[in-house]
Amino acid sequence: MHKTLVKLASGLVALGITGATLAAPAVEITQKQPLNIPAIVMFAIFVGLTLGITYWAASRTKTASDFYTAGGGITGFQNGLAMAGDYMSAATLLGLTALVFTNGYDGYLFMIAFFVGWPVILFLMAERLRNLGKFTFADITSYRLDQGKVGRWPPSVP
Amino acid sequence: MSSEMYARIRKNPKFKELVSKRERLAWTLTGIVLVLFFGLFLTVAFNPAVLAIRLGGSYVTTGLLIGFFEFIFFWLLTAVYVRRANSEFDAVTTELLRESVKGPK
Repeated sequence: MHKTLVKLASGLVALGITGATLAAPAVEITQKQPLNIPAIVMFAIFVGLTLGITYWAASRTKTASDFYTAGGGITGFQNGLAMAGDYMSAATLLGLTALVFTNGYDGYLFMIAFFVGWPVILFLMAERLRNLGKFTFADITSYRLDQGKVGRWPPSVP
Repeated sequence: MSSEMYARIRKNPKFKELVSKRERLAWTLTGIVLVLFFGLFLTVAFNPAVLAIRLGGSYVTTGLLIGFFEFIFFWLLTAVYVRRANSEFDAVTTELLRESVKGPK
């Protein structure tokens, strides 16, 4: 385990070095951009706001059910908004737009394929998950199957 | 929740009815989604000319419209499922639980 980690780390370092040497000529010919104060200020505001909200929310979170479902105190509509926010991510807004722009109808088809999984998951899984009262896939598999073996299966570790 | 209560729930005919009804709805909706989805993709694979027909000389093709229709239609199916789950199935579940907690004595 330790040896593989060391190997992996040295491999990454080597990759980084070759990457840096490859990038060197490109770095030389670029010009230094002028300092963009508004962008830096906006970045700081966003990061500060996010950290502030996280701090405020963390102080209200005491148990696992607080963490995953806000203590059961949010309505279905609020939860729907939260999930929509989750899925309308950079992948949806930037990635799929770019995909349709560069690949035309192929990108559009990918977008449909992207979307079709959700209704199927809803119809077949959602109610079972809710009835079990568990929050993550790992929780469910370890509840239904052999807990020890599921725990040893690395991708399932929450 | 004790195991006696589970047994009472399992014996209740309403429970069997609920399970079969719910399964039937879920698999019907899943079937509709999968048939439409794979239908579109098989058309793309084997007969793409059908999807490339321009409507009225505009840039809108049948393929675009069908894709858009699938988006809206799956969204409506979700609404159908949510409506039935929230009203019918949840009502039967609460009723079932109330009967099973008391026990038939």
